Amino acid sequence: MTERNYWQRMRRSRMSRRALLRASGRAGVGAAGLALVGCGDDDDDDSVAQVQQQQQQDQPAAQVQQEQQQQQQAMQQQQEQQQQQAVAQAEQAEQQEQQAMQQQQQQQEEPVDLSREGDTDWERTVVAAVPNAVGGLDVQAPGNYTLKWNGPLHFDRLLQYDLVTREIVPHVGSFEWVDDFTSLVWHINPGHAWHDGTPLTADDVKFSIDRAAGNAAYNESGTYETGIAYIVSAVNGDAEVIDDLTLRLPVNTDVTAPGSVGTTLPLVPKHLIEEIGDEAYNREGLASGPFQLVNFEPDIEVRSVRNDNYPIGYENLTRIHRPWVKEVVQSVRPEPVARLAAIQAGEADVAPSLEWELVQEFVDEPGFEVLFDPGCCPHTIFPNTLVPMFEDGSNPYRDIRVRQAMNHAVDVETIYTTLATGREQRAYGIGTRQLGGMQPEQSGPLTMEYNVEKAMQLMDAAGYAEGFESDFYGTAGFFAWTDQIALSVQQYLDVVGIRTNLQLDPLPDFRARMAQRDVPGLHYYFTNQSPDPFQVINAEVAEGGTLSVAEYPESGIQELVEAQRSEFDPEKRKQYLNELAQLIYTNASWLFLFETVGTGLMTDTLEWDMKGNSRDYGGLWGIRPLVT
Amino acid sequence: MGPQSISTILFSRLLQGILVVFVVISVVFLVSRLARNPVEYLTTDETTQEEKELLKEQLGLSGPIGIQYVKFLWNAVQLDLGNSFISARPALSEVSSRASKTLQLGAAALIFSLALGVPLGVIAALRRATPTDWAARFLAVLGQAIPNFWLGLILIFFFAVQLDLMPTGGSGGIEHLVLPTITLGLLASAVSMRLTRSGMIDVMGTDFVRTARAKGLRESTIIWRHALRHALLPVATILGIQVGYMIAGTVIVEQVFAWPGIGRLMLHTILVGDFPVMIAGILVISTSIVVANILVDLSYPIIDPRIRAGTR
Repeated sequence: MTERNYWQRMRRSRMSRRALLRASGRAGVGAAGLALVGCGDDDDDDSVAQVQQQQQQDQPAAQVQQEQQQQQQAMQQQQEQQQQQAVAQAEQAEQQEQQAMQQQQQQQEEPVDLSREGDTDWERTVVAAVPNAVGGLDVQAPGNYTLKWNGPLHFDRLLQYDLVTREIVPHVGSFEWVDDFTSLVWHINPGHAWHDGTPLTADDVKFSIDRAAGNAAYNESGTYETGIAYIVSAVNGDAEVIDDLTLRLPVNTDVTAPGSVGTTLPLVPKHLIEEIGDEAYNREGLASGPFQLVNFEPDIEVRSVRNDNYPIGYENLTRIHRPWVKEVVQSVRPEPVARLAAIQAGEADVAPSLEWELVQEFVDEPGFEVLFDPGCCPHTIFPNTLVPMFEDGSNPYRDIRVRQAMNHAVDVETIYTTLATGREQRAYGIGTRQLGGMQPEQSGPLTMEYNVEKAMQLMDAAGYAEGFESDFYGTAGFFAWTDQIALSVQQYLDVVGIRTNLQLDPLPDFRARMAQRDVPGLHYYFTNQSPDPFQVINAEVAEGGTLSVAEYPESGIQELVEAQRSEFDPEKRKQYLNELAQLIYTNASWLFLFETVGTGLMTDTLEWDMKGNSRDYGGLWGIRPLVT
Repeated sequence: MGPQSISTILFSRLLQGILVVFVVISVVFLVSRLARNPVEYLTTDETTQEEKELLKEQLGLSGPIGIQYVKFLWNAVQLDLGNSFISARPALSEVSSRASKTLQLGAAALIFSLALGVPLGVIAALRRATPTDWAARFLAVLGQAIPNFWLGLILIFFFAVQLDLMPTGGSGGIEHLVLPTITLGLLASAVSMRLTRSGMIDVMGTDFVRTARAKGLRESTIIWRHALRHALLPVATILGIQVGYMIAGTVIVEQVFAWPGIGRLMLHTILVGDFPVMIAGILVISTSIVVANILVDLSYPIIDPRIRAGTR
């Protein structure tokens, strides 16, 4: 059985400069690798190598040749000056990495804490103030936001992610590859049952897959959550139930991430849905997870009780397990200030989502604990390279120097220290550092630091000394401060001559425009935090992806996208993904901003340790009420 | 032209009301279809254009807008406004399940506004140009000037967080209704107070009040039985308009106090583009306002017998 993870190992195994060079070369990006290995982080290096490559795509041959010669000369000079600095930085990075490894090993070696039953208040009802609870209870129906949040609370999936190692681990089931990686055989762990007591079987899993794929025999016209249907598109043919606890699932050979089915498909009960139908099930919501739903009043509350028969106990505290909380009530308080007031007044114990402006005064306040959840949803600005921007057919964003100039023009750290919590980290690639982005030791030397002078030089070299005008689309109200961040970025870009017309829209309108893929300009969006980055890659990186507006056919990115898709060896896939993360950054594919830090507030009578992962509504199972 | 009978007034107002509701929901239908694509809300980043098109078709959003409109009207006259895109429940059921909560809050706020505004207006008029009058007028200005949103939060802070007298929000017992009622009703009470005050000042100087005094009627009888009745006519007129303001106000007040009424539902449906529920909500709201105005029209002859007699 393959239960290995890509990210944890990526953190553990240091990639030497030689390895980086080798990896880059294999991906057809030797220039990028050379820049990475030979140069430090004063930023001339990345531009030189990438300029050489990108110019070949963007400019006439004679011009390219001339500029290549100039750049080679510049590169030689710069390499000599910077090599010593790069070596020193690499050594420093090694030391940092060793320290990180030591910390991680210490963390992993901590014994599982089963000795705190006496500290735990097993009879406690915990009230969580939540902003919304609308829709229905069918986890596979579209738009049911309540269940998107509460998914792991009530509904099980076949696999899950370990909170510490981020490894894909068995949950309801485990799997093995068979038939030369063309099928998965799922083994359902005995002991899992629906909340009405009916055992959860392989037949339920087959039903859940068929239903999510939209081909449930009992209701062919059913409308299901399209994101799930997308995941299930990995399935190639009919699932075959071998026995009560075994299922054979043929899959497409180009989809290797087992998480694509196992970690994302919520399981629904066949016996009940066939009996009462979709519409009635949307009001019932029978599930098999760690909490059992007992009451749902739309826009008022979601009330759930501990599933004392949940087969996964407290042996391992880094995975979804039987909750400590006896009852959890999600009480709706749409207004953030009202959520805060509910905690102050003692009506609620925790509000997982509250803006930093509201909670910062509670950092040192007795009786409260401010929640900081780093690593969510890197903010990224995508330049559209697919369509011309000007009447002459040109598009400045196709020139790597312009994209590098953008990245050098924006003072990312000042933005997040002034507008956000200050605990944010720079964004680097296809996901957060926890989930597939480059690690500090890799990204540090590559960072395109704030340097206006250099940005202007790059603009000049690209032939845009006078700058140009561009549309700039952003979202309002999706994450905190996005409108202010967009305004700041607009001002920074203006300094180097990229004069933007900013337009902020609600997220659905913004995304619809971006999905058209033919609207020129800048699109300020986010990469998500799925444990496996395949969703981000498929949607935003891969050529033809649903939101892929920044494509670079000659960069080698698409080759790496396809290589990781068809690689069954986790180690090799990990390496492809790592190379991909680097290449996206060194190619200055996007304007990289920062990873969001979510904030919330709870009383100090609770303990909620999600091991550095986001503490969202689905993670309420991890709250331990303390005896007071 | 002679006086119109009650039934004639009722019939004419009903026709006008139906026309108003028809125009409102038609405009909402057309504008919403042009302004928002709910498919974007219901799908994820990975959803392909083909899947979006399929979903659009399943939701009845494909095809020419004219045909969609005709289908919508045909279904609407049968009171079938479709199912919610979010919960898959019939849209009218979604709205009607919330209507009682909004009605509860609206009625409480209306009663509060009249119970506070009318006596205060009478007292201010009777003690004209005294500190009592100035205080009442100051309160009225304050009530009109304070935004609902801010007032609600301030009330939560003092009465729920600091004094622990009221819940911060939610629904349930009568205690949950107090703060939202004050928040929603304060503006209306300020308007009622000012209109009552000016009406009373006018009426108290009229001949029939002097006659009543000359007949030896007690002052309280003159004020509360005879004068106030006349002074309330403009208050009754404004009441119809205030019902509309109050329903609009519930969007904010219900949001602040987590009151599960139509206002919050409407806000959410507008944000996500749940057209069927949005139109059902608009239908219920516009119908309520029309009915309130008809009731106000019908109340004139009761408040002022001269209207019934056709002398005014």
